[in-house]
Amino acid sequence: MKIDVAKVNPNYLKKILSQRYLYPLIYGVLIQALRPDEIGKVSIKFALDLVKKNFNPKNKVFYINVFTPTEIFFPLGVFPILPEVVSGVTANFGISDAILSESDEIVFSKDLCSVHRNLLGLIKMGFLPNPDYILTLDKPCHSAVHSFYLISKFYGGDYHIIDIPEEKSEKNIEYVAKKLEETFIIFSKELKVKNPYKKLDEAIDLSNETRKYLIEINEIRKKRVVIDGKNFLGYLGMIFSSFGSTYGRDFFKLLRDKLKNLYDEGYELPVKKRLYWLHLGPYFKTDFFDYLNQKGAYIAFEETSNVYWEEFDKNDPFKSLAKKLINYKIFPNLEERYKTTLKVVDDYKIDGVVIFNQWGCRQGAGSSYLLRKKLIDSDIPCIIIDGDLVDESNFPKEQNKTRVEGFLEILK
Amino acid sequence: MKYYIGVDIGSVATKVVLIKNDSDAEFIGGKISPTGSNGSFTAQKLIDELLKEKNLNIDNIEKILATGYGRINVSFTDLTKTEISCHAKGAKFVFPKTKTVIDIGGQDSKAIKLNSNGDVLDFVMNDKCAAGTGRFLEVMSHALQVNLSDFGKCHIESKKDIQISNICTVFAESEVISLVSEGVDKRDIIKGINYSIAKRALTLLKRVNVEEEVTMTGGVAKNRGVVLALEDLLKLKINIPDIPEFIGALGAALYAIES
Repeated sequence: MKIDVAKVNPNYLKKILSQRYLYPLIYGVLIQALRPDEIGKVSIKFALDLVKKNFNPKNKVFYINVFTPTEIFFPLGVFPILPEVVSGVTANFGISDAILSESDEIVFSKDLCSVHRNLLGLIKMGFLPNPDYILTLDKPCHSAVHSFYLISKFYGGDYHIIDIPEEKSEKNIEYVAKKLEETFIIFSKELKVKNPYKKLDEAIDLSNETRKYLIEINEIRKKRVVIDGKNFLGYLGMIFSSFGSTYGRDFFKLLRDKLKNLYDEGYELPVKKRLYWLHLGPYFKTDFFDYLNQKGAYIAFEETSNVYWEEFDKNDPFKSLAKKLINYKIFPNLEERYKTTLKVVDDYKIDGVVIFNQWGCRQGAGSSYLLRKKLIDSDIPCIIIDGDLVDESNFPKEQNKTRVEGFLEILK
Repeated sequence: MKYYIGVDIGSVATKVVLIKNDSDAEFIGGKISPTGSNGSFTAQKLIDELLKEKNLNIDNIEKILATGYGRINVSFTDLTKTEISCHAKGAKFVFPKTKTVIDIGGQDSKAIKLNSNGDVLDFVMNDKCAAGTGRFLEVMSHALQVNLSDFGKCHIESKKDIQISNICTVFAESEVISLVSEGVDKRDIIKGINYSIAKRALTLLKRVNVEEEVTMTGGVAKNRGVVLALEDLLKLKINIPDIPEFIGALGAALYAIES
């Protein structure tokens, strides 16, 4: 059943979502309807707790962009909303058409990233609570500083931005660490949080534990493809939004257990070609990945699951977080992306690399043809798929199927 | 004698090629027809007609392989291959020294790079619009009221260089109509259109690092003007098969032998 989002009254929806007592019922209904496994139950619980927290008029609402460290928010009792993740969820529900149309009144250019056009439409339609605070990083995503600024202008919210310097120097790490700590102090004072540093300790522990599980998952994936990476593209919401929480830890622990069990049982997908997927993938319903699978091609690893940061030091959490931000390996510069790709190709025994070009994504698509050329020059087959994460009209499905099939035909 | 059939169900036209394979593969004949609403049906009809024409029946056929956008779920074969591989195969068969193929079909265009064995090394396709494809030429032909078959002659007769700056088919059509209303010679406009197509093809060719020999396939290769424009931009001679629109189907038939 497709929801006609244009006919939904957002005020009515908000009123329902502000009724705390309804949540056990909603949870029960979702569990009955979706019949998720234990991993799915954790993500549903997380999503509902996030919604409950943010639709309670007594609570402050924080918007942060993907890549902003959630570890500094959970200690404050805040479940930050990541509008880009919500944007992906609406695409998955098949309701982005109407939302994108709505955003056209704010953003005139279709050349902008649809994830951000969609999130602006979503907020304009009133489906998200208006923010009290907005925090965004200026890298690696270049669009957030603009779309989040528009949100603050139109719908309120104290707008904070942390700029991430390009150069990976000690001085710049100190700079970002200081910015993060200042932000943490400002928000903890605003919210009158007691013992915020002690709670931050716990969040850092949880984040480290989650990181450990993700590393274990990746180690299993190096040996054998037991789960297609298209699922991991879907788990991205948890990667971006749950680190530093028990939800993140539980989710990735259960996922590790699942992969380990599959591996121990000797299970393996019928893989003929192992692919490395760069950037994200379409979040709307599409048979594109099934088509890949039919041809024996599976995503063995994807850029966004890369654990590139060191374990956080509890004695210096802000510096640890700053190091992670400065040393990002997801959509980094051309050289970093190339080096990371070479390592992944080796570690995961990759047959071919797929670069997904998100329409309007400067940091992702900007250098993709240069990256492709460098990889091909290094005898690593590579293809670029032009598409869209949210806007289905920007994803020429049949043409992309032909492209990818042609690519599979040339893989040795 | 072993016979094989290659079928190329494209967005505009469906092509069927019959070959025989004794010691060497040999082209026996081909048929082409608008794809219509049911590519599989159109292809089946062409196969029947071709076999009848050659006094053969389906029992004489060893294998059939399908390519093109309509290749999936056809009624007469399970064997499929993308048009990328098939155009490469067909071009290599006709011009054995081919290292680069430029195929411009009804709704897409592609540049394909081959190694010395004829294997596809790399390819790129046009982005998601009709710019630089046969559809673009059809729209312009309609706007100018000039038959596509005359585009080559007009190109050669043109005396002046006109640039068509829009790559969007719809906007380019407006631009062309505007030029006509300004009294610009249609032959000059056509040359500008041919160059517009050639420039798009050149971009694709550069992306695969074009190497001689270059072979052009697909229906647009029958437009001498586009070929001349592309040769001018590339500064090299391009191989044009006698039957460029059948090269994908020919490649499919050759793959049928190998499958």
